[in-house]
Amino acid sequence: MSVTATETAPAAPPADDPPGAPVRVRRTIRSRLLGIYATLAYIWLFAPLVVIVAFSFNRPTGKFNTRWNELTFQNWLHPFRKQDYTEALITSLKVAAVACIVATILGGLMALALSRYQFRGRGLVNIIIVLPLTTPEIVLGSSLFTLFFNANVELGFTTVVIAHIMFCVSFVALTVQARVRGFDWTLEDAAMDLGSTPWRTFRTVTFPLILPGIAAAFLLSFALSIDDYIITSFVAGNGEGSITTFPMRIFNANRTEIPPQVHVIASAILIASVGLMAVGTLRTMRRDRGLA
Amino acid sequence: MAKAEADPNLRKGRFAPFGLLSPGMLWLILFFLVPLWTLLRIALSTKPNPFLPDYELTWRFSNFTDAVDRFQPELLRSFGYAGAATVLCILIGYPLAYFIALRGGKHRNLLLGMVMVPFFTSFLIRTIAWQTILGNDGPVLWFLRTFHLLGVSNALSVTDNGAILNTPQAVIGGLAYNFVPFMILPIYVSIEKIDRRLIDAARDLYSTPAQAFRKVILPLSLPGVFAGTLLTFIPAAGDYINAELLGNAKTSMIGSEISKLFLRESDYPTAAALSFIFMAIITVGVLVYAKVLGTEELST
Amino acid sequence: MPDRRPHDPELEAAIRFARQMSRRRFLVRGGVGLGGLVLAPSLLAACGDDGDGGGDASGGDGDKKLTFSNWDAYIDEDEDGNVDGAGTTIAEFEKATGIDMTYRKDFNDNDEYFNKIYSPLLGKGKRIDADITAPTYWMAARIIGLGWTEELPLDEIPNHKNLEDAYLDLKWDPGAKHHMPWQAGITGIAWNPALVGGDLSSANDLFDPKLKGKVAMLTEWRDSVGLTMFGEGADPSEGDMDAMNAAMDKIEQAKSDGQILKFTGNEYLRSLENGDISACVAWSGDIAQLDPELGIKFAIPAEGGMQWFDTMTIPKGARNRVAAARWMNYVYDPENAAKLTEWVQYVTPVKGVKEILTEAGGESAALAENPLIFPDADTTSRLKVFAELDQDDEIAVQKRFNEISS
Repeated sequence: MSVTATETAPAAPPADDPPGAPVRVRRTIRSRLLGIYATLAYIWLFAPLVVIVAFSFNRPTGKFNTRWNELTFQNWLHPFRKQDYTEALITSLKVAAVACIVATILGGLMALALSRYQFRGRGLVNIIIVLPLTTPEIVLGSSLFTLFFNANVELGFTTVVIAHIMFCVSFVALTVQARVRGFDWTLEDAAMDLGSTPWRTFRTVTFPLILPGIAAAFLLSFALSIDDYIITSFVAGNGEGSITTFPMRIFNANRTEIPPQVHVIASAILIASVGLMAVGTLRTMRRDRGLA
Repeated sequence: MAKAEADPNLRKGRFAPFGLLSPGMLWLILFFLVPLWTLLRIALSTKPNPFLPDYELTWRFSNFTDAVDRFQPELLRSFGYAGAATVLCILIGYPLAYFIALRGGKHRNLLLGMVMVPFFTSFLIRTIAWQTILGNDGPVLWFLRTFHLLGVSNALSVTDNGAILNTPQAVIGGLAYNFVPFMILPIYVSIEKIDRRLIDAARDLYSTPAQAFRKVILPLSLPGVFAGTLLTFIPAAGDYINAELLGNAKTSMIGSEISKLFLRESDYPTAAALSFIFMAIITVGVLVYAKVLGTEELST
Repeated sequence: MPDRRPHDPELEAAIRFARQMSRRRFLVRGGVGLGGLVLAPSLLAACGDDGDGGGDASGGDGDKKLTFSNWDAYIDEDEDGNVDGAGTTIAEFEKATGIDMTYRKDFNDNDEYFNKIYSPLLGKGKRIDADITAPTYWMAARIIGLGWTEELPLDEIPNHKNLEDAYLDLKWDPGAKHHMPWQAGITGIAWNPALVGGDLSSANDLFDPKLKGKVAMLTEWRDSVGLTMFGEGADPSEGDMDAMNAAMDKIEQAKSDGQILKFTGNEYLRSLENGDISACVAWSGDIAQLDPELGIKFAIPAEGGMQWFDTMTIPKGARNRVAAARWMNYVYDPENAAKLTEWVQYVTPVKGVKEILTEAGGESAALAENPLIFPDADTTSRLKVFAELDQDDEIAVQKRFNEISS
């Protein structure tokens, strides 16, 4: 996720070149150890994912897909068989789409303001942005529920989107701010010297340069929104406008069933995100090769 | 918490910054601060009828002290588990971040992406998968049993009486697993930002790479460790789903208690008071931690 | 900002004017407009709504649509797991009556539903969206006592006469005018014979140190405390607070000793399947739905078991009372009730189901002989319903149990 366009570090770490072979051997062992460690760490990171993918091919005997029974491809052939899970997934995607776009815009604007301008009240603004991160989700959820309830607002899609935007804005603001720090704002001046309007400058100079940060922030808030359970469960409502998101469906049903379709969907999301990453990496490699 | 020096790169602005800030700030004020304010009022109220959601503001400060008395064990436990999980995250995450930043080479982004990939599956499904892995019929216990290592693992407290699932260890492990990307990313960013020439110079100056690490790389990576610690500890302390799915009756965390107070007992005043106490402890902790480490900005 | 453009006064003036206009417009309108755009829908929802989830509660006699909020795994499904697929009770009902039915599996926990839905809405005189909800009997007793239910339109429910007599005699709703039971069940003990090394027969077996760390109890305190009271020789239907506290002492001790691993809702099923627990307090129908290959056994403890039922109520202000009544009538037809019983395998409150199943022969007849689904008089005599406590006692017990179970 970091932009390495301007990176000039060598691909391999510099050789120590201390005198004498023994030290070099020691160094090799040390870097081998680090490599082994990294492999083990990745195995740990991926262990549950292996289980999830494996069990997506399972035909469970009971209502819980937690014991291996026998291999089947049926789940993958009919991943949307369980209507309520599919509907919940679509709802989650809709919520995430709207919430993330708005949160990225709001948070991005705030990050721009914070990193570009000097003004009184910076500290206060920083505190207000960071405060939601120190608040436990259950408090965010229940306080929002109280707010909506007192204001007679119907709980449903809108309230869930509002809640998601709220907790994503802080993440976006911090992420973009971290990426934009050190940005050379004189580039804008240069553009305007050449006759560009502020909007055009923003569109053609500023925005493309902060785009990686914005993209990272968008992805982060998408992941957060798709996966949120606690806050969503408080504000999703129970009336006609109420919605059920994917995590809500899983959690509620978790007590009585875990259908393999859930594993299939999770595996599909996994494969999709790995695929996206692979594509991104290939493109970067090709571009680097092209530049070199 | 803001930097005191005037960054010459920044412009002074009157309207522009507030214009940019206002939509976001408005949102946060309306949907974060105002609800918290409502909650604070409820924390000082009582509920005359247990079956009706009516609250009277009675300035009952004893709600706070009662909550602390009643839930002290869970508070301590939550911070304890979160602390253990954070330490685990540092121990596991720092070397990995180091590896990716300084040994990853041109595969850096891919390696980093692979750290993030587990994050893209549902957290619930991941934790349920851990139930399978750590369960009675799962591979971990199978391995320990087959190689007769159960005695060793019991002695080392890795297992409790031959079980890993439904133990505090499983809860801490689950917490660490779920938040380790939040630790790895900031550390990676701060190590990656270190000027390579500094590292080369360090390697030239000090006789062992270990010293170079200790004197140069480690101190320069501390802002990342700081940020990672906060991003890990704070949500971990408030998390309770890991404890519910991987723990037992004696491992419940404060979030679970707050949830039960809200949803099962409908005792909003106590729940609200407990929430504020929890948040207050975290805020104080963060400020102390910041002072100790000497870092003022919370974003690296 | 320092202006480094070429110095032509007229050009400068023109450019300056254009810049000011565009910048202010961009920032201010953009910011405010965006905020307004997103807030608008919610404000609209708040103001102009005609009452979904917020309107005044005055009941309506709609008969075209119906919403039923029920527990999970409580109605028959087609092979894809859809409750309204072809051939299911809901699909057949919709065909027979022309009513468009929405079935929601969102009743997960009585207290949660009370605190999230009943209390905030019905408590303030507003209506909730569901036309039928299915709380457990004690919660039904509570909301009926609070006046939060509609009286059943009995002229639309001729099959009300099929209700088993036992339900007509309840203190909190004599004649069953405000509720019609959905399914009844038995709470007993379940165990995995392979892990336990034999069979269990008493609630006290759960406290056997041999099973330490492999026992679970339910978060539903009436079930856990009730069975423990039986084990101590007390009768849960008598409502003796001392006996209740003694039972809770025992449970608390067992928990801190590590005897009881956890307190669960339906999740105990999964732990039983995985072998993470070997014995627990359990609900009869759940075990019946488990794969028989697993060999999990269920029994009513020798000293006695708990009886309970979930019942359909029409919340006050429901808009489709007639449609609700038609549904109740439909499921109280013994043929339809038999179909439900075949699937959920709980105790039916409808008369005449046993005969229909016996006649059908085969697997259905086997169900008719199952004492857990059709308890005989001897079994029934060993089952008790937990006593109804007055409000303060109930809250005190619940509070204490919540503390123990966490």
